[in-house]
Amino acid sequence: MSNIDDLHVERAPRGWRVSGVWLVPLLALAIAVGVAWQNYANRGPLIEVAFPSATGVRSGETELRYRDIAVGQVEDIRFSDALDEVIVSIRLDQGIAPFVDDAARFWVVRPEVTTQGVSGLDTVLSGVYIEGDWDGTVGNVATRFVGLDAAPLLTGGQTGTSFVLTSDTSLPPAATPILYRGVQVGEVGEPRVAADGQTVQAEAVVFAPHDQRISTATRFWDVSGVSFSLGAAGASVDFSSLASLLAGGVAFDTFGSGGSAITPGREFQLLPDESTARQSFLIESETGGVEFLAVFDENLPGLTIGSAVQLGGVQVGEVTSIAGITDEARFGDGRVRLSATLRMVPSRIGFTASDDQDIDAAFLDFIERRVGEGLRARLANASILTPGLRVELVDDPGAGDASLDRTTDPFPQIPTIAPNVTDVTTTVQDLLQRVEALPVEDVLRSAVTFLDAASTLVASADTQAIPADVSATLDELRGTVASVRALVEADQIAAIPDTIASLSSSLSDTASRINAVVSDLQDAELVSELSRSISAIGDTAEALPGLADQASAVLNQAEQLSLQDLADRAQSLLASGEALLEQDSLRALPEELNATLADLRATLTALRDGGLVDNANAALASARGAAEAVAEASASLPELSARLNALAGQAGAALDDYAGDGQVGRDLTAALRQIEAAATSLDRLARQIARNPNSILTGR
Amino acid sequence: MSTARENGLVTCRSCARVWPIQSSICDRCGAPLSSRDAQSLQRVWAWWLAGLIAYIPANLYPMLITETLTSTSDSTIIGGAIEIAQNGDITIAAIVLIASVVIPISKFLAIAYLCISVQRRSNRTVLGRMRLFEVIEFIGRWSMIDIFVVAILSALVQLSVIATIRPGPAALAFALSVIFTMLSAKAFDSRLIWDHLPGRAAKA
Repeated sequence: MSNIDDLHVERAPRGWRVSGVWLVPLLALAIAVGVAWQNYANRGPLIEVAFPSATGVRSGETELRYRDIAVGQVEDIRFSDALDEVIVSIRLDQGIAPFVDDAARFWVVRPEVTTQGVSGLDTVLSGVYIEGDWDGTVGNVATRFVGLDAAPLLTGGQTGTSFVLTSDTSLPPAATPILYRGVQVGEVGEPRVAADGQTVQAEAVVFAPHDQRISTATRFWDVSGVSFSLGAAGASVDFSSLASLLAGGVAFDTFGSGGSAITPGREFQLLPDESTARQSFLIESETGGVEFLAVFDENLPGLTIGSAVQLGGVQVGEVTSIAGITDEARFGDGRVRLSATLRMVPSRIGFTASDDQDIDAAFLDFIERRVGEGLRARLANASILTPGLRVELVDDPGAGDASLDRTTDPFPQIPTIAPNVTDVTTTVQDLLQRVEALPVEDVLRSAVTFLDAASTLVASADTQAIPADVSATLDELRGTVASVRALVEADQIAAIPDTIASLSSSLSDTASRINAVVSDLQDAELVSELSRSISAIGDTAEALPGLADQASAVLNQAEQLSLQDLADRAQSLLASGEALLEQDSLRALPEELNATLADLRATLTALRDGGLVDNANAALASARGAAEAVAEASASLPELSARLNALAGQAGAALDDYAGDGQVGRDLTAALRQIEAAATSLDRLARQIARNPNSILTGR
Repeated sequence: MSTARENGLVTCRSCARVWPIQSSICDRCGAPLSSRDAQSLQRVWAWWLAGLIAYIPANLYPMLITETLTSTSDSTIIGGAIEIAQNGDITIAAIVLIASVVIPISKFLAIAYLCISVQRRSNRTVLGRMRLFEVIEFIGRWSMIDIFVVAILSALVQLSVIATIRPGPAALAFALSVIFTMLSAKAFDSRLIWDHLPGRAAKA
């Protein structure tokens, strides 16, 4: 047993030796402590961000991201003391923590669907996350932040220029692109109503490098939707692009080069369209500008800030402020008047000067002079179609005495006259009333009645019969023509040419007879003898006065008897000729002749076929022969006439001495003229001379 | 009743052959022989401590990381069991709790009790302690059931973005803890239980 004890004792010290297994728990402890220390040492600071709400944010899950890389995690979510905010505690990563300074911004990224597209789609599945934005420089340490409602316009190191867009009416929704020549170069933020409630404002940003184009001379205008304008130049529909038509957009341009760089936060007005923007630039960009006050008796709606001020049809300025005033002491009643401040730019009407003060003073003097000449301000319609108003400066010769009041505060006051405003609504109503008053229905009724009557007339039996009557008349006419033709073809008519032929031959005989008579007259030398006798008488009369008396007595006798008788006869002949001519039958002759000729023409037409033409030709040939004979006879007549003339001249000379009685001379002259002219009575005269040639002298 | 040691014998723990107490090497299997392992308690405590250290992160860190399409969730052992219980599966929650919490802790307590009782030369409930030790040895391997579940789930549920299960850091710690406690139990020389029987002490 001692052995055993020895063994036991002997081995006991071995049992107190330290076992190597102890290294295992030591190692485990070391690892645990090491891991714990590492965790603690690497743990970043805890920051707190206050959000109005924390939809979708979950502690231990929601990440903090910077440029889409997780740099922290939400550890805790709790309410603020007043329960009005949610305070999210975020454990930052050690590496990024120094950069999260007091300028850091935080916002919750949630899925969003807007007209500009869908954003944050990844958060639909992964849950929301908190996006942080800070710059790359270490700033003041901060642990409490206030979260933003929406993502800021400039994030993640984007550079650009931010400014404020304002509008009196409305602004496009958030995330509307800012376009330059159709390219998106910026973005509009969430619009909000300004503190004064008068305008809406929205933060907007233009990214670098395009922000270099923004200056004080830049104007922004809305290109959303469609603009339709109806003006003097016609109607125009304008939209910038289909994309902006659907999603909206804001365009800008920098007019002119005079602009200076802008400071962040500068306000720009969002103008309705490009032309307005240009106009606005033109007015605003011009330096100087003289301000006037105009108080209009009528407080008409429609005049707004920015309304045009026109002088002679040229826009010289705009309305810069409008106010209503009542001043019983000044105007004598309590009515509300419209007081407008007009800003006029002298250079718009050609005023130039080196010094602004000079030009303003000169312009003031100019306006004062013109007011003295009758220049007045009045309200007028800016357009026929729109109810807007403008201020016109017009010459009113009928205006009373007034002058530019330089004493009014704060600007000189221009006298005004009654407005030239047509109430469009009234006019249109009036027009409509007039149109309504037109007797359109009466006219239509009359027209209908007329058409009914016409229709009845056309349908009546009488009207239908007219063509038949016309037809009958034509038939009768045709019958008449046929009977005329039958008459022409009768035998008696056919005999006419023969009768003409015989008449022609007898005419031919007469002519030859006349010829013979004339020859006899020539042979007898009667005229020469007569001539000589008369000369002898003259000689004898001069030589022998006694004989002259006798001759005178003879001539008296001749005067009283033969010549008188001859004259009377000639006169009666002429009278009978006249009487003959005055006979009705003779007067009717032309008509008959006409009728005969008409018949003859028809007859000749009818006769063309028969042998009558040949007969007629023959008859005409003989007639021509007779005519030639007559002409031959006539050839000697001039000579006879000449001789008779000479005789008459001598007789005239002889008779001048006895020209006591004018009546005889006149009658004789008339008779002689009648003798000369009356070729038709030559036959009879010649026959009488042939019968008794000496009767002229002897009177017996 | 007497122990082998009292009879001057020593048992080979490899092949169970009994040799005289002076023998230092088993002639049959070549294993070293010792009547009592004097360093046994040291090693038991060392493994026990390592297992306890490993058990702490096993409960603090997530055991399973489940990534689905919309969310990522990680659950610790106890958190997961509570979650399961809240979903209505009390039985499964109980199994998980028993396998992952009750049994490991019981093991720590039981091993500590055995060691302390040996060190205090306690002579009570010797048989009970012997059975306790046997139960510990038997049940120790079943503590790895959690690890098996995690391993199987991680291998099966790999559906890319739709659903993925990954073992968390606690899985490793838990496995280590189980291994350490098994080693701890293995290091315990159960023959020490019998050394201070009252009958033998009285006889001695």
